[in-house]
Amino acid sequence: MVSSVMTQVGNSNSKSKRKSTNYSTLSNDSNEEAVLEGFINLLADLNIITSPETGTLNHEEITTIEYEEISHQTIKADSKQSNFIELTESLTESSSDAKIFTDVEYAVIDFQPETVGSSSNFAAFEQLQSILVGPELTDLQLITDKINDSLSKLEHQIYDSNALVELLVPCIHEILRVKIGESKEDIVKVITPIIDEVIQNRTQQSKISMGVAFAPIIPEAISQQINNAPDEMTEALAPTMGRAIKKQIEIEQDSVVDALYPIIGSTISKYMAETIRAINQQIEDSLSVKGIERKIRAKLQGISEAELIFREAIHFTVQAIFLIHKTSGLVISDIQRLDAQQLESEMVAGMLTAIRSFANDCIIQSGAYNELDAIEYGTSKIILEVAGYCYLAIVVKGEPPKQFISKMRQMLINIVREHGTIIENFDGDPGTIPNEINVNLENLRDYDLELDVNHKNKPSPLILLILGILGAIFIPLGIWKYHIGVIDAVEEKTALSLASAPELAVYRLNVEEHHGKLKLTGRVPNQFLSEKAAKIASDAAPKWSIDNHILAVEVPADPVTAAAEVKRVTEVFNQIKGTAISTQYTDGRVLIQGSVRNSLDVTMITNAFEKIPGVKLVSSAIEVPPAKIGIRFYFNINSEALMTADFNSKIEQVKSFLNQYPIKRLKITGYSYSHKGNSEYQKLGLKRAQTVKKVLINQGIDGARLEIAGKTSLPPGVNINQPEWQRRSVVLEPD
Amino acid sequence: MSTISKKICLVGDYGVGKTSLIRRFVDRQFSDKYLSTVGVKISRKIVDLIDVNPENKKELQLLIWDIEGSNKFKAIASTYFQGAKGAIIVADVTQQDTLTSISNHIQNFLAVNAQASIVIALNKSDLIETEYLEKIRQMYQFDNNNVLSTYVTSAKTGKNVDEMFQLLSHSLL
Repeated sequence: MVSSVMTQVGNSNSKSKRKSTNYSTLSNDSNEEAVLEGFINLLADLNIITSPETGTLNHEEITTIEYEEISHQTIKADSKQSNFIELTESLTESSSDAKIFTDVEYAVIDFQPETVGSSSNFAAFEQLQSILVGPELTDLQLITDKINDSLSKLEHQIYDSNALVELLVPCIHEILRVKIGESKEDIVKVITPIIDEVIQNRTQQSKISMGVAFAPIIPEAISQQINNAPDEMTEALAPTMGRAIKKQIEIEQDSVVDALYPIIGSTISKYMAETIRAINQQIEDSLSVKGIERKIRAKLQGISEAELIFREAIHFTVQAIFLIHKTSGLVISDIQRLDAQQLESEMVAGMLTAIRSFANDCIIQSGAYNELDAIEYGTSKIILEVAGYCYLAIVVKGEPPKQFISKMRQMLINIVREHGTIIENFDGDPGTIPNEINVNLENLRDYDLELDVNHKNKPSPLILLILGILGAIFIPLGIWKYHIGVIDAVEEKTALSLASAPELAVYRLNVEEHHGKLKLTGRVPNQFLSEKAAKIASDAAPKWSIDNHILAVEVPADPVTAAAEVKRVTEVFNQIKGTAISTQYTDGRVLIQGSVRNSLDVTMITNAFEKIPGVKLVSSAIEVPPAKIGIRFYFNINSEALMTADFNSKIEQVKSFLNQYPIKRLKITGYSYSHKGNSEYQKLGLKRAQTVKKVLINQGIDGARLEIAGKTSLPPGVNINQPEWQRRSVVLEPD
Repeated sequence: MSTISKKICLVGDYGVGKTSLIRRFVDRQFSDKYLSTVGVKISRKIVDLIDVNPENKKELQLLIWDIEGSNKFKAIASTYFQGAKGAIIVADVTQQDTLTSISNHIQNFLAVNAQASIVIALNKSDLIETEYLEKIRQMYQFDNNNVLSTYVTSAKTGKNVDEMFQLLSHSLL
């Protein structure tokens, strides 16, 4: 709309221009000539130009001159007109502002030629104005009105949000497209900080629509992430895998079973096949004589009957073990016997892998999930056991025992569990494989050797049976014999002890074990001897309880025997040094006379005679002589220094005396003779006694048993006529 | 110096000379006793990889799976590709249909081993005039990051056989 208005204005202006600049184009049009003529006349009337001379100039010249004159005489008007044209043109180009048009209008209205001063002139001016710009002014007014309307609408659209949105919506897409094309990074920077909030808000508004939006990309996104960061995906998904599987089982159990069947089904079918085969074999042979015989032997050896058959036929040996990467066929671990021909492990592994693939893809029918588990050739076999990203190929000779198969599977499971990631990523470099795998497989290789050693070390069951029977017989017998031997020894020892006691030796006493106790039987004349026998038995067998059944029988004593016994005991006591006794036995009474060394001996002798059978009373007339010690120490004149003659001998006698009489004390009396009883002499005597006491104490004698005194008299047994040196002595006497 | 093992496959239509190329490459180590009826022959060769630094010398044991090109093993062939780190796609320069099949072989192999390296061998080059060989080689350049190069080879003369295997071997480590 606006552009069409501008076009019209442009046309009008161009028309004006043509009028102003090239009037010669009108010369061929009579109407226009007439108008032109009228126009010239009008200009002449206005004294703007002078009336031209007709025929003096050609038409072109006239037009040119007229134009020049118009130009000179209406400079001001022309300048205004020029302004108008410029404004109109500028409006045409930009249509920038309605005010411009108002200014133009004013410019035209204000047009007042200086040469016109009267009203007639004004009318002529208006007429001229009408002729010159009348239609344009009208158009201009219309344009102005339209522009005002447009501006109002535009203002409304800007300030009214709804209208503004309607206005901008068609442009936004284009703006964004252009902006993204120019600078994608800027758009990213602007959107990035809020994109998470946008997604969250939209998700809160409608989870379904967001789910629909994201659904197509999620599988691809997960695939990409698994490729880019498998560990992160594993860590993210692992914690919920268990729950997800449980939930899926709840939702659709059959599909889970179908999905897991390739893994579990093949394993179960393999075990079932082995089990059924074993059962069949057992059933086939179970009723034959040979089968029964084999059963017995198998039982004796502790193995199955089928295993016994194979073992007897072929000796089982492991020749080589290969742990092979399942897809590439590269050898992860190569364990072979050193004493056998070395196989080309890589070639064997490659071919086994190819054969496995071929069998799995081409032979095993669609829908069945099985693994090639063995390749047999002659008496040898390659056992194949698959787990994870690897499989074990074990070249064996003979039938592998069940324990071996079990051990192999357990080992493979452990290897896969502990080193599964390393195996999965194995890329042909054996340095990446832990040595633990090789060690484990070497153990598996040496299984047959281990088996042999075990068999060699394992004793025959028959021998074990015989040994068991013999053991059952002889071990209790041995224990019993040992027990009897112990009892016999105790009994013998106890009997000997009883026989060794003089007072019991003459009596027949029996010792025997009875219910864990030593039972003493027999007879003795009195209770004392019975108790004596029990005590001796207890000392001889301290770990045993004594059950004393010895009877004390008061047998009338034989006077002759009693007299003989008294006589015998008397002689025994007289053998003791210092003891000299005699006895008289009359009617059960014993009279003892004589002397002994001390009172203790008196008691002992009396008791001994009282215990003699037939002795009812013992009368003792035994004397105990007073203790004497005839030792004297001598001193020089007026001296307290001891003379050392026979010193050691004297000391020994003192010690012997004190030992013999442990309760005796010694009185040490120092003598220094003075017939006047001078105190100085008495002191000297005392000092001499002190000297001896000190010497005895130094020799280990208890000082508490020593008592000292000083005297001026003559020592006992010494008179005035005897040599003087005997007066200067110390005398020791029992106190 | 440890020996690292890598599996590579030789793929191509029947009769293009795959086995002959291997025979030429592995020399005396090739043995027909490993011929099998499962559509694959396996051979091996230890390659010393030459490095600028002698200390970095490495020994690579190539396990070369020669996958039979006849149609009856076509279905199983992709299984044999598993775990391979490289492949040599072989075509016969004298038989246009074998050259046309190269793209399919590349596609099939990369479908199993997306990260593997491939070398193209245009074999039997001794049967073609020398001036045409370069033009043919240029025609079978493939704009694929996995394809290392295209060689014009001859199992008969040994032309480019070792070079081709060396290039592939270097790309495996």
